[in-house]
Amino acid sequence: MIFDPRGHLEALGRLGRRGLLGWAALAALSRRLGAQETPTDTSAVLEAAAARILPSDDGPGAREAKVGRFIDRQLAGSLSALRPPFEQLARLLDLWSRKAFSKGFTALDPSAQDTMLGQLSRGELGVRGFPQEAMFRALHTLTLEGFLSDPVHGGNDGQVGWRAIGFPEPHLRKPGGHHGR
Amino acid sequence: MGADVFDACVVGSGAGGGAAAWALSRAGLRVLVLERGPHYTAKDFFHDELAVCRRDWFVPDPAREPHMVSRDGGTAERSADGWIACCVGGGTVHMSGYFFRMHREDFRGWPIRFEDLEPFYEEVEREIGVSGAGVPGEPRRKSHPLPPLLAHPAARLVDEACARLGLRAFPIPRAIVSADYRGRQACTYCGFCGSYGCEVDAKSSSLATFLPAAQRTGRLTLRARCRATRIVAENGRARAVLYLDERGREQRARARAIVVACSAIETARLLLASGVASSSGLLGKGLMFAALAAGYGRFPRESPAWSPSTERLPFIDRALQDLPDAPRGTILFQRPHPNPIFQAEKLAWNRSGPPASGSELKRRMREFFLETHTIEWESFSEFQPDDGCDVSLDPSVKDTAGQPVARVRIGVHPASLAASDRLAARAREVLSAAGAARQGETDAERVYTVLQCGTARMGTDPRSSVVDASCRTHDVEGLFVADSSSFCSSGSAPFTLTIMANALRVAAGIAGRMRKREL
Repeated sequence: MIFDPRGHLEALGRLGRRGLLGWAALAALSRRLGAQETPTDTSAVLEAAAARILPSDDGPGAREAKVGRFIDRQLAGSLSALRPPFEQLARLLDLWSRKAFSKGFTALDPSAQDTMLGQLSRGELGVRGFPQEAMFRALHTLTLEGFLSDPVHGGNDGQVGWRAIGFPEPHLRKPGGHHGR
Repeated sequence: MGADVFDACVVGSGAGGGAAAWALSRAGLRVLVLERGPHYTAKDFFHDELAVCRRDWFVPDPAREPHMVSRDGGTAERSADGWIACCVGGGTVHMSGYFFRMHREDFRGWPIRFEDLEPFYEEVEREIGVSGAGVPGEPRRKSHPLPPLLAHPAARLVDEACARLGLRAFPIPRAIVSADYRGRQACTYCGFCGSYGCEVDAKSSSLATFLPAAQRTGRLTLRARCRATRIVAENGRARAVLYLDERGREQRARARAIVVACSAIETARLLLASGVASSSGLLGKGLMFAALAAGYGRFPRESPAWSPSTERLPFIDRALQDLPDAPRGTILFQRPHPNPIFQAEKLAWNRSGPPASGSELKRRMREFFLETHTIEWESFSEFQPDDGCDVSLDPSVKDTAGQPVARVRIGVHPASLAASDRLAARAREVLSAAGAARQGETDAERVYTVLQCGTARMGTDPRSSVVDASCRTHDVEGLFVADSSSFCSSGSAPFTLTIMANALRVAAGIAGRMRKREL
């Protein structure tokens, strides 16, 4: 298919104003788990999750590409409307991790993180009212974007993602940089 | 509120609007074109996948300017689907430029015949520059004005496989100039065609062809970032277009002919929001797309057909059309789009369940990007009208101008799916014969929403159609439609060329009536 049909805006756009878990419900979950005093580092949790979608075991992954930095910038910039649901996602992963494993998500070993992300992706975390599958897909999309987009956006650090797939640096990475007619 | 006066006001500047604007201004009319998007030029185009293809550079952000889209009876969700590039030149700026004519049998149920469009097909091909070597079985008096684009050597695999199966593959006719043409530079084979603007104007978009030609007449006024909000009609006569200018102020442009060409979904929305052309009850009802299937074959890395020196040649550009023992349709063979994020998303896709992650995802990426070569195919067949496929005004969601957004129901008739499936089977036979080591299907919608038509159908009976054979609305004198809204069928190939040819025909009709002082 030579035309890229813009699946991206689909995946992210659908999240738009979807009914998310109320903050009150998350707070209640925190209290139940006795974790209300433990803050969640959204960036660190999302980065850790991205690093399981594109791990670094056999060649560079999300960490080397600085996908976490990419996601931070997107949620502070062009995708700022999606910041609240991603903050909720991070909080949910962290709380659920404390409940199931008695430690925060970033402290889990990779196989436990994989188990949790697998459950999230199938909507199997025992939390109602949160679009688990859709949020997993959105995180998955952001991870691929952070790995393979132009480094100007904060990911694909040093073109590590492009090099990993043999993608040649495109000419005309910025407007006005060509010698046209 | 100022009131400008023109002979004709064209709303939209893409395939239909650009062609109509050129033909009307060439005929001596003073023409205003209103385009809701910005006026990019070749020097603005760049190859940043995230910025250009995956954010709101071409299409609106669904958080602000959504279509409310439901599929197969599901709930409506905010979506960018159904939008086509909002910029001067519209979808022709970021199209791939597959430029097929419709065939005689595609005009079943239309009030016009192939012969009515034939001179306009020829005019478009000549005027903008279409590269090709004819199409087997296609009625054609004149050859394409430019030879086919240079094909990657792997095209030979497709050609030979087809020959073994008794089929004849041919170069895809493309709206990209294969040689310098009328002051424009030949294609540089960078491969960033679909979803991008062409930085050397080798793509024969309205932006690179019709609109500059119209400007050279001195009779075109082109206003970018101007969003039409309402068609004003009084006593059955179109009078004016209300629009928001680039600073958001309401303006009014008066014209004797108002030509709407915003693409089938947005044209229906504008007419519905204006309360015009709706007496048949059919406006927005007959929405059709191109029926689509897509897949790929992986080929061994080491092969004479894929020598490293030709790695950067982007096109295979082979097509099959109207095969024996298959539904009418077109199969295109092509190399994958260069966008890596887009490709990685497709690789992660699973038929059911969440996308692949971890080592499985990395394995698929290695196979595609590093270990094999890929030939992709897409099939286009006629979209059978479906009662569950239409456009209306959303009852609650408004755009940033406070207007109701389009609510789009996408439904696919089982007959469309069956035809796609049969074409898909033929495409797989070809890639098997070509030596594909492995084949698969692509995560693709079964409809191609960028190719949309049928929401304001042509016909002779005002009870069963929205516009007449000249594409004037039955209800309102002076109000015309010049995009694919008027189409009575989707045909069995991409139809952008037909939009342009029909727009020239519509414009010729308008100019003729103005000369006779009927308008």
